[in-house]
Amino acid sequence: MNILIIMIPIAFILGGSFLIAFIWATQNGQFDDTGTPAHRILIEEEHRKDQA
Amino acid sequence: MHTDKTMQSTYDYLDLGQFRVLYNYVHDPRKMKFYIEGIKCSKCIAKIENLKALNEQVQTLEVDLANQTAVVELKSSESSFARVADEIAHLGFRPIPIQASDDTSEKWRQESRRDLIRLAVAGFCAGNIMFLAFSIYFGLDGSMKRSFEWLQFALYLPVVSFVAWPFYTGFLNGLKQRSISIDGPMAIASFIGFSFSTWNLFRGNGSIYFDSTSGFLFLILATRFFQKKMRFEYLKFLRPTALAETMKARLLKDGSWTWIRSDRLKAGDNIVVHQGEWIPADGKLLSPNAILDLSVLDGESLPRRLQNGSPVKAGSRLLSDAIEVNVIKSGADSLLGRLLSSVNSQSIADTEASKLSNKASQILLVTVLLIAAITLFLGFFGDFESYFEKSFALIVLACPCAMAFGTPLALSFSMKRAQENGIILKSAKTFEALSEIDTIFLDKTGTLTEKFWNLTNSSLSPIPSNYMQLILVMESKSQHPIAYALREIWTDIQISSDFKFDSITEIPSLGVQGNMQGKIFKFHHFMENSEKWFGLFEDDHLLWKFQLKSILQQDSLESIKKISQMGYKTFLLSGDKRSETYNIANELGICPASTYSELTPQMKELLVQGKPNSIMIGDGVNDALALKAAKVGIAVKGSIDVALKSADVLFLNSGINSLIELFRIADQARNQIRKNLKTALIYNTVGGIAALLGLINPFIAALLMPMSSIYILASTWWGTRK
Repeated sequence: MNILIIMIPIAFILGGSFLIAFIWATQNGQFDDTGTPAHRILIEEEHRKDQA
Repeated sequence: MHTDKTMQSTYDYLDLGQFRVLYNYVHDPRKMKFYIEGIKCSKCIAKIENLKALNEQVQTLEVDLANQTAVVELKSSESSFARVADEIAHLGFRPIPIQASDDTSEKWRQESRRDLIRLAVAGFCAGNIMFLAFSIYFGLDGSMKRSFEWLQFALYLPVVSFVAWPFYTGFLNGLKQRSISIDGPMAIASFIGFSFSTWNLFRGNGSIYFDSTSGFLFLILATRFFQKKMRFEYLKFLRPTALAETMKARLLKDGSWTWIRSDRLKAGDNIVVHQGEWIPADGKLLSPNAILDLSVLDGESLPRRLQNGSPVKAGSRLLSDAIEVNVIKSGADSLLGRLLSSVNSQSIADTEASKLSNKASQILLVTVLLIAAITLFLGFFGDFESYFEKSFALIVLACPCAMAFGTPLALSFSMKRAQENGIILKSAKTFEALSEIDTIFLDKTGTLTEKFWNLTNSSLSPIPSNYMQLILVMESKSQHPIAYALREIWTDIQISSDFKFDSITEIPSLGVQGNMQGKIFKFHHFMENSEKWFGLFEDDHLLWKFQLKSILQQDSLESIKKISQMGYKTFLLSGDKRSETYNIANELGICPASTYSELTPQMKELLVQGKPNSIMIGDGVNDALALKAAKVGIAVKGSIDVALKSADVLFLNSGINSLIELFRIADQARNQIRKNLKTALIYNTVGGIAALLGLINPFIAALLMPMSSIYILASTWWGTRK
């Protein structure tokens, strides 16, 4: 059972970092438009300028 | 500032300071948001977004397909928005700048981000608390149990503070208005659950309820989130079109014009309006004549021809060549402005779910809280903890599930069902209101009939092609409304080169006349049996005559029959001419006594106000007042943003067949809500008594609560699935 002392903090750190990542993504507008990006992947790359 | 006068585009006003301020997006001078008419598929996204590769001034350009908008960000505020708009227009779309104050989706976006974060935190905390709690339920003991309980406490801290925050504010706001809001039990359960559990945790004795309360709050938040999402959906149909177009005006000064915001026009200013543009202010026509499309304002289907000196109204569209107008009233003082402000001041969007449920939940909440308080009070004279447990079990158990989310769920599901059938509801309140309807008012133009016209009553049939060609050639130069209508109807007629007139002249306010090889052809209207006919004459001998008539929409007849079978009184309202309106009424089987023609918007409003339990179906600004006056205002397809601001429902499919569907869905929603309330009544009475007798402890209550919720959810989904 002692393994739990390591496992549980790791689980919380993992879960917590995903939660923080999710909050960060939401605040940056990741979920504002959930429809258009699905279409955007269909767009031919060759006509587009380098996005970087 | 971009002041390059050589580039005269339709959009160059966008680069003027006053318009930049107006259309500023998120207070960033480099950003502007456009509604883009014509975006339909991923190809359109590619086309538009590709502009950022072609125009080096553009920093980013992002299209939102669902909302049909694009946000343009320039590299510097000196760059030109007009150029980008021009380029978009060049691709075959129509960009319309959106004012920040009109941009409802922006406000909702912020709110939905906040809600999503709250939901994520609730889910994370509740989920982890459950895991920890389950190991205790399955027999974990000793020091491990203690540390698991403290972990639960730590995870519950964000729940009791951040997650439950809207419940506290909702509860307090309700108290300020002297009512117990639906947030009440959530606020109380969250807070009392926390206090009692923490107390037990500290003394190391008694149960803790972090798992049940956090799970309960997560479920409620999740349902609320989806319910809100459904409401956002309708917002994207609020499109700026005519309104945005009337925001700009060409001000005449010393023989040349400059762009100006129409709300800054003053009485006495002279403006120029070009062909195809919307008149930005009320005024007097200075040019010899003009042809205006007033369909947005009064629903008249034929364009109107105006002479020098006659009044022109903001919101009408110029079909003929450029005109000059002397401004009399602008902005909020114009007819359009007045119509709009009267609509806005009346539209207090009420988002509360349902009267019936609110009332029932009020009674339930007050009863439960009162009993809980009495139980707790009795505890002071006896075994406090056991009384506390009973009282807490009662609060957790007697959650107004049926009201807190049974009703919103039933309404959301039904709204979604309606949406799948092309019916967009602004608020679920409409379902309730529909049960009290006894009268239906129908607008003629656009609702029952198509917007365009058709030839009828031809004296012979079919009309010979050479006659059509004769008429079209004679009318080809004409700016008369009828010429526009005919060109629309006979688009596919090929005109042979044989028809060459020596001269074509207009017969003022009657028609046209042409001379060909010594023959005089005339095309003009005339009255016969007090009906308006159009005739083609050769040397004053009638060759051909016909009438123009609006076409009934395909399903109108059948739908009207069904609606009258359902026992509703049906009235036909129209701004159109008397004979036209009565013909349509006759065709539909609506009796003449229920038919009103040549109505102004105010008269329509008065008629609708006379029947408190009525539906008004119509479109355009001219119906805005009537739509607002009706208990349920329904805008039909093709309506502009204005009508939608005043209407409760929007039909995306043309015709009124959707009305029957709407009635059915509303019935279904109401039945389901009633069923949910009955279930809740039985559950709460039985469960409440059991809790008070001590048969149910808070843990069992916390288990029963989600189970009852899941039952309500499943039953609601099942009951509204069709």
